[in-house]
Amino acid sequence: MQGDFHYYATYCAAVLAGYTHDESLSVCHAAQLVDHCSRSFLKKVGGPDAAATTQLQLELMDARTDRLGLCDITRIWASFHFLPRDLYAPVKKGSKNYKDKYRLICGPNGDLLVETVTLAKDRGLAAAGIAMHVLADTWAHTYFAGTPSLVINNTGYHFYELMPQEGGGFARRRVAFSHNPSAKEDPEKGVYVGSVYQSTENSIMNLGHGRAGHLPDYSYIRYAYLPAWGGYREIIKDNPSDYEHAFAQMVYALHWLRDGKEAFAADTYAEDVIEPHLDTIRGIIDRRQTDASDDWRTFGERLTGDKIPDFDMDAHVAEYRNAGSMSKPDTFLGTFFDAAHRQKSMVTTRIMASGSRLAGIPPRKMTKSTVHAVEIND
Amino acid sequence: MRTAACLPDNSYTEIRLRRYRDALTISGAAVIAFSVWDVLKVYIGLFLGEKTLSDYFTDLLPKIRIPEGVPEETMQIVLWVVLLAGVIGVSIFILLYHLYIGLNAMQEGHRTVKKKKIVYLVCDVLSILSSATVLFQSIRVYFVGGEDARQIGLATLLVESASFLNYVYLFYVVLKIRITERSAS
Amino acid sequence: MTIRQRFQQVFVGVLMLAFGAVMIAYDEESYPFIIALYSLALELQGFRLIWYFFTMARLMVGGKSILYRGILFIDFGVFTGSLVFVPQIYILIYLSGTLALSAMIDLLRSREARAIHSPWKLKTFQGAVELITAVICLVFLHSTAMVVDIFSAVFIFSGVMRIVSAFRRMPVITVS
Repeated sequence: MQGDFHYYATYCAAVLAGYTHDESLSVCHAAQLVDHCSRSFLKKVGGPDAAATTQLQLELMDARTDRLGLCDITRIWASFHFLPRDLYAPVKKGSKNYKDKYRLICGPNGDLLVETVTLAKDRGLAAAGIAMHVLADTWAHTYFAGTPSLVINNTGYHFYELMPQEGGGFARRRVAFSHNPSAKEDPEKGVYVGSVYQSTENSIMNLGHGRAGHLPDYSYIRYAYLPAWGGYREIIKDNPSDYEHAFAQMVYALHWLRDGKEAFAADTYAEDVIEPHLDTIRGIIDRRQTDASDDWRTFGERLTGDKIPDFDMDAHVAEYRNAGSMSKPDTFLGTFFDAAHRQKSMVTTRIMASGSRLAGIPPRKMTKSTVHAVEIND
Repeated sequence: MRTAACLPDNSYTEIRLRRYRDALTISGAAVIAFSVWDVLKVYIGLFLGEKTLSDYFTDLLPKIRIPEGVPEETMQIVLWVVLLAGVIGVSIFILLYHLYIGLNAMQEGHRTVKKKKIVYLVCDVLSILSSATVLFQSIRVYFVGGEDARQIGLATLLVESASFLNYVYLFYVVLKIRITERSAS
Repeated sequence: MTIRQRFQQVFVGVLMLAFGAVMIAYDEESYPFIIALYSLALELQGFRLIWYFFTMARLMVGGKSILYRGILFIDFGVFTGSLVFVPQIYILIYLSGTLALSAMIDLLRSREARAIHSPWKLKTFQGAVELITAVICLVFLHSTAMVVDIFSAVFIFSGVMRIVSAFRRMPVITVS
């Protein structure tokens, strides 16, 4: 998902869940910041390295893909963008490495999602925003894993966009991805950009949905393809349906974070709350455009009557920089970094507990010289 | 909440067909890759190898009877032209022949042609026969020994076997696709 | 870095140092050695791909292409190994070309890094050194002994860098 959903749609969801304009802005700012809080950003701000929630393209190109480098990548991408659905999914065939990677495949309504939302409870608006980012991405990034893997994340020739027909039904149009990252996407002509095929298992090109380009990030699109892990079973990804679910689940989750008394329940949606706005929401989601920011913004501003400012990643930087070391944790960015820490730590611990070493190696396995590093206390 | 607007066809037959079509596409690409590599090897061998084209030329020249009145230099040029034309001609033919098999297989695998073609399958069968002969000869030379044995490594045998099996597999997969399609329809 | 990875880094570094020393010691006679090295690298890559196919890629849609690739790599390696009679100039052009390409990639990436205020100096230095080496190699193409010495120096430099990086402390995020 991109800024249109993580920022503007999250704002709308927060408002519908009962948050004020200012609170909603904080939630959606944090949700969008997850896509910007790279090590470069943290260096500039002076934040802790371990709070990185994303990696810039350039950082990825320079990232090591040895065991520890892969752990670092996996921790970031599996924790914030490709939350695994089932770390104990049954896999009959393949080596342990294959099984471990298979179990990192992202999907909605898994146990980790419940833990993610629960972890954000009573931890402030930044934590809620991070949780909303993770939640929304479980719908958009379903079927891809947040670790570099050819055997899991690759896509091939069998990749079709399903074009709605006037008389009902869908026509298939093959998607041939362009591999030029600076090329402009043209949904009308079916021109989409995707990463180039790399036969190396752990190549960065095989991280997440790179091989499917930005298609998972577009709310209007429906596409059929053969996932590398699927044994030639076709998958139809219906983004309009998934994005609607994501929005309704965000409203429910945000409402629960604010007023929930009982445990957070997976597969629950605030259908009644969004019902009066369903036509508008569906209109935005279904509109064939690669950036729905303007539509979501108009909807959000109509809901509160207040203006939604453009996202500015540096909005809270001065506050953090100017705060003394004792008061830093209480600033907006301070609470964001803390929540990011907790989320990454929780997901890493769960992955390690499942027997997989893709996100981390138990400290006792490390040499003395490596353990001096930053530590996260769960 | 609205549910997915359409569902995929993941029937047993459809999955099998996808598997076969993908295998056919890869086999077709492999036919092309193996032939390009074979031709490249011949060229590298002839120009940079232990016995170059120039050596063959030197061997051949004394064996040719030069007609009276024709200067030796002219004859040398003619022989060079014939040798080069022969090598280039044969390699282009080999490349085009395999390109024809490979591309047709890939097209059928990708379902970009509707008409079922037969000719490329006949070519494939011919390739099976010729590669089987070469493979048999290589195995014989390798095990029985002889002067050529040193030149045939295990890796070459591996590639020849892979190439032979690829031709056989391509034929098998096309048959499976056509039979499955017919029974499904 | 785990102990095993550290050991691997040091091992490869020492091998590179040894290769550099042998190349300096034997000058032009070390060409078969360079070819053998290149051939071995290709064969290892082939075996690695075949291993990858049997452990993972056979389960992947379209994974059979990995098997074919592995077989071709092995054949390519064996064939390269048989080319000990290739004129040295071809090998030098090939090696210089590879070096120049790697230099261009490093320089382009350092430019991008600079644009987003990321660390860029080390990468620029690396790219510049590679580019200068490639140009010097092409200039002295006819003095093969000199080019061998340059490549030896590159090998030794890379070996030292590897060994140093194996002992460098690296920040690692652990969960306690």
